[in-house]
Amino acid sequence: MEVTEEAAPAARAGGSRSPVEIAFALALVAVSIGAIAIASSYPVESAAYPVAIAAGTAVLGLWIALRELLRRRHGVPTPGAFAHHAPRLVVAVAALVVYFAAVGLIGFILPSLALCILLPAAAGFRRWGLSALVGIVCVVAILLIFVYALGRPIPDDLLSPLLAKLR
Amino acid sequence: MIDALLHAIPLVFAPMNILAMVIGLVAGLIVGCLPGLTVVTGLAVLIPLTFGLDPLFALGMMAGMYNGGSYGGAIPAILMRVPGTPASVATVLDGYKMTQQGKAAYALQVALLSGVIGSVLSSVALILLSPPLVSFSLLFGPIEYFWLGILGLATVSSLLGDDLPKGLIACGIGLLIGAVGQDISNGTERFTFGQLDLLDGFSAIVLLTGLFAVPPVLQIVEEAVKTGMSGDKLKLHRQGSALSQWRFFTPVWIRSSIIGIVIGILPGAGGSMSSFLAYNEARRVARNPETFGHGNPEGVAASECGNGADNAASLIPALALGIPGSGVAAVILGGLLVHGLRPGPQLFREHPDIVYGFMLQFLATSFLLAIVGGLAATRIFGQVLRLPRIVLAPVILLFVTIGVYSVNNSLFDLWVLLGVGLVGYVLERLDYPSAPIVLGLLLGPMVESQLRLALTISGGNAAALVSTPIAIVLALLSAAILLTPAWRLLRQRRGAPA
Repeated sequence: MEVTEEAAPAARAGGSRSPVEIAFALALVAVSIGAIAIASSYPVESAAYPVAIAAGTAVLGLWIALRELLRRRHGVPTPGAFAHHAPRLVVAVAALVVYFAAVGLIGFILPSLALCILLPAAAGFRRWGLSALVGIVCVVAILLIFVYALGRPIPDDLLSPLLAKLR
Repeated sequence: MIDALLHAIPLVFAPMNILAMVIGLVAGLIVGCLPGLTVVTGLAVLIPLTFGLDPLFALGMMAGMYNGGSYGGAIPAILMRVPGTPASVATVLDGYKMTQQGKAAYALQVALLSGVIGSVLSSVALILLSPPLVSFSLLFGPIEYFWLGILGLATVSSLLGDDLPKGLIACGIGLLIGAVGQDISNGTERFTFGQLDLLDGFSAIVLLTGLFAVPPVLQIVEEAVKTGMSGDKLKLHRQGSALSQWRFFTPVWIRSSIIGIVIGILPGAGGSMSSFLAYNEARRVARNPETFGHGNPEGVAASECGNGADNAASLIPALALGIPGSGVAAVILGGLLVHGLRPGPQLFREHPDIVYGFMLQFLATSFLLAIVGGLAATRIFGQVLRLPRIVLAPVILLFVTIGVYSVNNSLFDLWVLLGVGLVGYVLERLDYPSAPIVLGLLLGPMVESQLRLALTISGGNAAALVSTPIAIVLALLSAAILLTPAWRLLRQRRGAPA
């Protein structure tokens, strides 16, 4: 798989994903214990199945966390960085959160166009024209195929009155 | 079976359904040839978009995407030394060498023809082997179905990934998610937290899409590849005909197809394993094995034929028993459920036109691939490789968003999509396999309901769970599969020097 020069600084540095491995396993244990606690208020026949699974998941999560701790103690933590490029990962996650929030507030069209231009730009892509063109083509294609041809709904949009006139 | 097939033929070849297959093939080719996107991702994006469409139209697109994506991975493997999908890794070995020797067009032709032959034979196996398996499954009652579910969960958890505890945890996550919603037997709301949206549980389609379509988006942004492939590489000119050399390739095609079909049927295997095993077998029996890895077209033929041959075959246990043999089959199973089609004997009894139509669509798309994947088409659809990959991240997200939203007209689903996508990314980065989550989600409710039914019928006697020969066999198989990694580890330790 080709990777850009700046794509894997953590990998080059030989980082370990060990802390994330332990944190995630412990989070699974916590969620499983929470599930058991919640399910204990259900009738036995409804609780038995999720409690059994959650108990199994908790034990396995604990196993993985302990295994990783032992590996660290022996100086051989699981190799490989957790993220290819942590700053860009943070940007991507933030962009997704903002995008979904914006879709809920002002609809699909404008946030989608903004996402198509700004997300590549945030990752260092500077050919704005190409990003905009791809965004416009995609949004128009989605509107034509899904909204007009198939009659599928899109979230309430600021531009809905305009779209209604175009129908 | 013959009657059902004859009834399905006019439906499959209705103009709209042919169009669906072509759209699926083209989309599959594009998804397959884009490195970082797999057929599973493509299907995860496609399935919510097909919600509400005619089932055969939707299934035609899925069949096309599977077959098209399977071949699409060979295009960058041959032209750029970048496998489009994991199953194309073996194709790189000889395919790219052929490109360096100026035989790119010939290598693509060999890959296409071999993929088509593998897919055709695999589709025939699907049509011939599924009905007998369905007949056998008619002997099953609640006890057997419970164990069948356990067997499916065990195989996929233990085989899809190198780490059994992680496979089992992934399965547990799926089972827990599957438990969310109202317990239909007594109305208890489990883990709904008062949310009306969760009363029927999480939507399988939203979870599938989040798990398989969002993580690639994050990965594309992280990698931030800002350049596309050079247009020169797509200037392909015909270089002889692979078809005219059928005598030369036939033994490779036969061996690779058999390997691909067998691997496809086996739960947990498939994909890259088929193509690698077929490649190794071709090299093992070759008169000049030293030429493999140096531009031997037999290597490309074996890899692509093995890869194509496991496609439809992996759906044999999925359609007949509801137990998918691979990650792709699990997603397709989810796609069937989205359209209200529950795999198993019931599907063959109640919707023979659709299930046989789907099988025929696999066969038809295998042949259509020869046209849609030809050199001229590769020149056209391959243009997508010139697009910088970073531009594709928001595009995928747009289609996923509109597809998921339109399933229930729900903004809540979009947040679920995001949450599941982020968890899916973490799971992927930490090497937890995703397929067992889907399996847990799909099979969990079946396992629970059949277990309850079996215990109710037996008056709460747990010993009844191993009271029939089929149940005992399935239980022993499940145990054997779960214990195999431990046994392997023990053997390795014994074999290791003290």
